[in-house]
Amino acid sequence: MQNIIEVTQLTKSFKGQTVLNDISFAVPKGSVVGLLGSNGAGKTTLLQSIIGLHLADQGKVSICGEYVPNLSAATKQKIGYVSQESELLTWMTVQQIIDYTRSFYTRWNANLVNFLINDWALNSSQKIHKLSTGQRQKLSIILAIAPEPDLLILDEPVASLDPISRRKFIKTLLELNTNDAQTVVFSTHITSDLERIAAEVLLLKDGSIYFHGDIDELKEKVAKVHIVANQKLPNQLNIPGVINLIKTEHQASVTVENINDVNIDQLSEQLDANIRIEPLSLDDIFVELHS
Amino acid sequence: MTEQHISLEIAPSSGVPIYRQIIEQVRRMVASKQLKPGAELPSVRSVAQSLAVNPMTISKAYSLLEAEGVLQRQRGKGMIVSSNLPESQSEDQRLHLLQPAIEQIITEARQLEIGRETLLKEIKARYKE
Amino acid sequence: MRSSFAVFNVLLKNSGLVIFLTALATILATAAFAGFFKETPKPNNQAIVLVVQGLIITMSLLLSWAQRFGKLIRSGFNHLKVGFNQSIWVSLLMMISVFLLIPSFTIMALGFGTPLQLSLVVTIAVFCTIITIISSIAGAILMASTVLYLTTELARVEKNPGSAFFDFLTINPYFILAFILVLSLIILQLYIQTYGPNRPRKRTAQTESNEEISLRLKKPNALTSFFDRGWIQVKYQIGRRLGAIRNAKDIALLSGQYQTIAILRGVLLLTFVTGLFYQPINEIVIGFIDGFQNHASAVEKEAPVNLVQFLLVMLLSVLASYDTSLLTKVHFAQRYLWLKLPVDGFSNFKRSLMATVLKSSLVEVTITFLIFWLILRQSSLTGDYYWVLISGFFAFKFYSAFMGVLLIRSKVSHLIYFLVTLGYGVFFAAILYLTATIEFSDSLVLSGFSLVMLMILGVCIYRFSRQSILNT
Repeated sequence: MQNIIEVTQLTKSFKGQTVLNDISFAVPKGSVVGLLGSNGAGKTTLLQSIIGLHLADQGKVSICGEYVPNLSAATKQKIGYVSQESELLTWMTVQQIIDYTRSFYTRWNANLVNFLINDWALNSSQKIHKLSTGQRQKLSIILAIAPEPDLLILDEPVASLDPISRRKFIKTLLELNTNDAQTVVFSTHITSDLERIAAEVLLLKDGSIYFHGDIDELKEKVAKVHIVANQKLPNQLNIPGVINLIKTEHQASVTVENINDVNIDQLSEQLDANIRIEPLSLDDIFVELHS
Repeated sequence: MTEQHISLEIAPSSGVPIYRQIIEQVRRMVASKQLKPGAELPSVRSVAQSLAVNPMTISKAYSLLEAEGVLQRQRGKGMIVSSNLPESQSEDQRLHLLQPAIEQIITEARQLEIGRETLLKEIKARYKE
Repeated sequence: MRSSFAVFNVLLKNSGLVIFLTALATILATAAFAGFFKETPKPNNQAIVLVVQGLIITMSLLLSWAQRFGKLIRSGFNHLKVGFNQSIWVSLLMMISVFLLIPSFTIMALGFGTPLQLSLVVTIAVFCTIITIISSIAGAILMASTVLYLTTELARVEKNPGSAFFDFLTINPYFILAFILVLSLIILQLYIQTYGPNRPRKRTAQTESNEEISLRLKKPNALTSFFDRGWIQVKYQIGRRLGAIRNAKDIALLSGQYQTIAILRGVLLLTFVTGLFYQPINEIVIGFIDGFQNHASAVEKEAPVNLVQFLLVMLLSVLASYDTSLLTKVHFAQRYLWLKLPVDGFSNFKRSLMATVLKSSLVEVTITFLIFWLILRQSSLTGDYYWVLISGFFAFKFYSAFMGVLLIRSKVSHLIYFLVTLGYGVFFAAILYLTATIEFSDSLVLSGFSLVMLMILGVCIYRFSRQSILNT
């Protein structure tokens, strides 16, 4: 499979503060990648650097084989981007901005636009400045997917959508991904959505990549081990790859990086303890990593 | 054979990966004969659409079920339930499917400080009904 | 007006020291003005001129304070800010002291003015203030028309020796006074009910006002007023019908422009064009032109600063200050257009955007210059006066453009803002001074100054073309 995005050793800092530190990864064509990280982890900066809104201090980013920011017009037409704060021309009506945006693109799926405008209950004759934050976000999404881009980059697209619209949005995204092999990269805080639609997750922590790979792999590896011992627990538990540890005299909860590296039977025997393994959701994993 | 409607449920926020949840459910349906041998499973795309999950996840679950021998790939038709499921293995297999539920009961019994004998007695009494 | 408001906003931003310095500078400037006139006394008429000048200064200062006050209370979240109450009180106090101090100084220094005249001036100032809190464009238009009306009054007073200001009012001035006061109070009361701190607040993160003085919420591109949006919509519709707006870049750049200044200039243009062809119809224009003609024929050489000069400089500043809103939207436009515009490569994109900005700047300069030139023609000024004003126009234009460039750069410190703003004031005073002692060499100095500014602007544009799109 061909990579649609390639990021090599990207470093970016603002006023002496490093926001992105030596980031390298590739996104194969047709994949759905979720970008996860706490506030200030650098998600937005990373997405903005990918599409060339920031110039990298070091390292390179390429989209469809072209180095950012020197993208050709043809390549730029293939990118759809929804920013965190919807940027629209607020004095226009919904219909006016649709027509205006359409004028930039050679490809335009008018049926999809009409369908989504109705489905998401937007009034096309309404002035944009009168729309609510959620409605503006919907409109921004519609405008970004209407030109049927090959690469869709979404910065917290569902943050202000209600659950129904969120589900609708996810279905639309999946449809685009299945039918047109569209690549989607999106950042979010809502991990349940990410678990649904993303196959890959890219976990940013303090400007570096903490994990990049299959969500399932992450969920299968990271787990919490609950230990209830009959005797007093030793000071040092012999467990590899500990992320987080809470310990009392007889009990301990240990979050481990890779549960397959832990020999449960041996541990149980060694500590004379009852051991239970709790699988963690992405949400839990995220919290564990940051606590 | 017509495509069977199967009702799958997923909980994305549980710790169990979605593809595993699907595998468990299909196994259970096959074991309970809710899905009979030869029955056709809905396509990856339609399951993905109805559950609003990534199609890759569904196809991963299907592939693993195929490798396990529960499902068979049929040319041009998609997945069907394997027609030569060895009947003799099914008790073991079915018991295996109960594992997570048993673990769960044991854990909760411990938390409530209910002894092993009491628990077994309760299960025996219930099972008779 | 917008650009000068932006100056005031920056000037008055938060810092107590800056506020103190501004207040001090204002008082000193007013006192200097008053003193200057006391030394060259020319009874009645000069006094009237001075009252009008005091009024103009008062109102222009009030407009900026009122705007600040309006923005502070209009944004639904500002009351959460630390020091919100102080800001409100400082704004109110400044408004009160400005409209009490300046007229008082003027009148004290001159020993002139009946209580009625004084109270009328103050009341008009109060009214302008209140209107400005609600809408800056309405306030600006009201101010412009008041100034124009007072000019007409002046022309009449000069034509009829022995008459005084407001003698030509058919209505009893006391009645007008009471009416304006009551009306102001009612409007203010209504406004505070609708927008004041006690109104029920929406829970959404929306705010009309996101100027630099108000709380930064997630809507930096919101246009301030209904007028702005409406005007853009009208411009967009007309432009599209006529085929004048063909360019997608124009539309994106159009989006952020504050249209107030454009409307004000439109009013000026219309007034003077009408005055050119239908003299009998427009009394205000006649009065105004009378003022110019009196000046041109009689007091050209030995002229002290008088009303006509002052008005010319006011007009000069309205027309010659560069519309910074053209620049404030460049950042937005390039962010908005970056992926959309079918242009290959980064530098090509930047160049194409800059070309559009330069084009619209050129249009702005041309149109304002045409209006100014039209005014100069009607005033039948000649010689040195003419050339100083023309070169002054360009000097002012390029200097304010340079200031606009500085204002939109996020990296510039507050100190630089302050210094640049101070420069603006000094420059304004210098032009005022120049119009009193006009020589041809002055126009040469101003031309040289314009050239220097133009060169600095060139450097700024070159730097901009190399910056990344999000430059924060």
